[in-house]
Amino acid sequence: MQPANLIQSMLRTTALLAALTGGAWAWRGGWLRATVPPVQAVFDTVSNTGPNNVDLDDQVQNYYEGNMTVDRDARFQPGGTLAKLGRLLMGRAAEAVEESRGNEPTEATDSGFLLRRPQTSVEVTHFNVPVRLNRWGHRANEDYDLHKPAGVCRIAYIGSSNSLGHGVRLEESFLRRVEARLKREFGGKRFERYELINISCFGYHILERLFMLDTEAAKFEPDLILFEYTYLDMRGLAFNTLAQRFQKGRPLHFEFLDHFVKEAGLKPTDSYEKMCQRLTRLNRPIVQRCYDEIGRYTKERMIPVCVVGMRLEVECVHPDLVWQAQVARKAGLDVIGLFDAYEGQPPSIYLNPRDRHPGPKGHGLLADELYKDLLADPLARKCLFMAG
Amino acid sequence: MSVAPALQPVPHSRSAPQPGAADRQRDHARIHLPRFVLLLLQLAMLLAFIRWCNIESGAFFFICLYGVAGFIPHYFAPLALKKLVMLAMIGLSATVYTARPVLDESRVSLFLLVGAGMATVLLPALLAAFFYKVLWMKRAFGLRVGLIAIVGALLAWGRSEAFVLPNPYWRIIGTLFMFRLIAYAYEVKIARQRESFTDFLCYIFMLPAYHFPVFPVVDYSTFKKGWLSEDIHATAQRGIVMILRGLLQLCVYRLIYHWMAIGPVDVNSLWTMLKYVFHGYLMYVHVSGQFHVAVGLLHLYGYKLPDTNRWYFLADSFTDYWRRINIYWKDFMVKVFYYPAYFRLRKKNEAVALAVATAWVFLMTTLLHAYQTFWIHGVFELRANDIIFWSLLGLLVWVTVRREMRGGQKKPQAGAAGMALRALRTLGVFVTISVLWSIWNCGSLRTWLDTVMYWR
Repeated sequence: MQPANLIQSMLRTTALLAALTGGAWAWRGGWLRATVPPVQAVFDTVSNTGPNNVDLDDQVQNYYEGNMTVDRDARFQPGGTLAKLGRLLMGRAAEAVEESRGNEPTEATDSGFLLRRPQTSVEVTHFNVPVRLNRWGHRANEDYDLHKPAGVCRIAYIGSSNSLGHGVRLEESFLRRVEARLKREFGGKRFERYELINISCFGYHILERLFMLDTEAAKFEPDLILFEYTYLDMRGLAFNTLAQRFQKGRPLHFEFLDHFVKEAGLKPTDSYEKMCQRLTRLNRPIVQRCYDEIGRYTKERMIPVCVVGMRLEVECVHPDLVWQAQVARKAGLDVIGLFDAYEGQPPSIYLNPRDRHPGPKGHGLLADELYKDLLADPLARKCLFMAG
Repeated sequence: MSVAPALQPVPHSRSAPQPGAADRQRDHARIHLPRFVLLLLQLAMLLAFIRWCNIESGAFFFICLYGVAGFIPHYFAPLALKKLVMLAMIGLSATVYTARPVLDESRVSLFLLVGAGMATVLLPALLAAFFYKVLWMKRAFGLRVGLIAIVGALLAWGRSEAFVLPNPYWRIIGTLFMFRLIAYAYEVKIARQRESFTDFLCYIFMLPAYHFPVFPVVDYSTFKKGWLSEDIHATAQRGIVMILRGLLQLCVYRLIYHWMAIGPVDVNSLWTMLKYVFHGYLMYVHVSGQFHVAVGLLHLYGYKLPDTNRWYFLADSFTDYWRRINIYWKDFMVKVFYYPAYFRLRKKNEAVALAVATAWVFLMTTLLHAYQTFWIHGVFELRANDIIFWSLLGLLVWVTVRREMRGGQKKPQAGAAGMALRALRTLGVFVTISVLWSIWNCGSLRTWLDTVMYWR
């Protein structure tokens, strides 16, 4: 390249870069929002590192997307690797291999409503953190009894991988932090101590959580049940398991699900994706009916249930989160919305920006928000703190 | 001999270095402070744009930062030390980069942190030294390749079990060696003299390769001959323009990813069906963007390399598409697979040689894509949709090549009619490739049919 052409190219590129970085700077300062909203929207989208619906629903990824977005920021434990290397050097190769494979905290089932259930009385390494599941399949170090001891306030929390503490240590998870704070600040007052039973499992969505509410929660004699929901409960992944159950001829447990399967026109000869397509079109009526079921449960069993809206995204409060809160209220349920937990926070609160599971900082924010909301919610206050 | 133009790689010379090459390189590496400052200013703005707009990920920003940071000492280093400076920067960045995820972990001691990071550099360096030694042994080529294949098989077993080392480390080992070792082995086979170990290390340990699991298959001789083949400022400026083009493509990718990408389950209307069919191919800008950035970063270190992708959405024939998309892959396949097969068979029958060599290229493309996925994910998976896609694409390319060989390269029709015809052909190719890509990226053919026939 001739020197004159080189200088021209340099100056042209410098000018273009100055325009781009100037635009990015204006966007960060919020000056585009008032003046050029479409450009603001473009910058908002370009800077959004979060997953789209295809990734959230675990739908089949493009060849290149599947290879290029592999989890490169997974938590790595150098101690764990050196330990494995040590076993290898000591001639314990089989153990080193077994440790390398890691363990699954859930196992497939042969029958029944649940397609997967948590293992019981195991300790596994999952996403590089130790996960201990007690005899009930709950993530806890303690093996508590079904019968609630006297003087104990028990809260049953029914959630999914976020509340289970995917990718974080038990003591870092937000439910454990809330339990510790309740013990510290309210222990010895109305109740001697507080227990938070975590009936959460990886990959459980609204239908599985509803099943756990119906079959498991009451066994532990809770004073309050917190039923978690996220906007993912409106997405295809929540109904994929229904399609799988239909394909495998599994019992649907709830009559209303039989009705929706008929309404969707599912046939055993349909492909799995066709079934999911048809069920996803009925997502709103199905979810609405789920909240009606929770409302009926709390009246029949006389156990208070609060619905907890878990915000997953830092960019905004998803409209489906708000819609579900409205539906839950119409069903006569109290709603605790953790909508402010991530307000103004950067994507670094996630373990990995592409899958939206919170890291330790995210769990801290959720813990603060949940604790504050428990104190503010009338039903929770009555169950947990007020005398008589 | 007429070799289909679509299947010709970028020509390069395999001759020994010209006398005076070192003097030319020294001239090209001459320091010019005002130009250096202008380059640095542009790079600073690129980094600011990446950071402010969260392009890709934090790790992506980190690798670009290191690439730019390494440019400074490399620029000022004497000619004899430039490659060593680059290798030192690669080692340092790899050490910190792979230990980065644990920087939040307060319980991890500094010793473990540095040790874990160094393992990422030392282990691949030991492997590189071993492979280099074996490839240049004075033994039959087949024996050398066999020995490497045995070690490769052991590594593949380790990868499938994630043996001792975590998955990210295995992915890095795969990314560094899986294709470039094959390309280098081919160069060894035809080489007239031994290549230096430093050049081999620079080739294997390209700085951006630590971050990009899918990395362009840079040709070794192009890589080596491109170093300081022109003024460093011109090369670096070309690199900056490439990085900028890459970043713009990555921005477009984000828009497509959030606004257009849709899965089979969400297809329930004509509009969503069209989004589904077309979004997959359009999302290739992600690959193209990353390739532009990766090769652009190499330009900062004096490596003048060809374009990786060239306006592939505007291809007006299937051979044109094959020429424009992932050019490095096309060159690698033609050089290592097509030419050996073609020249072996063409004496018997040129048409048969063309057909067999083309089929061979697409068969190997199918297998090597599954091989790539194996190193990245630890699982070897070859689906019916992969075979359908590459077979159909190979058939289309072969048919077009045959037609071009019979009819010769026709001059494009002039005027508006010519432009309209070209536009129609381009649209036809775009639609066909989009449909093929949507089949490729679907779980199964049945799923694809169920998805596009959403009304059933």
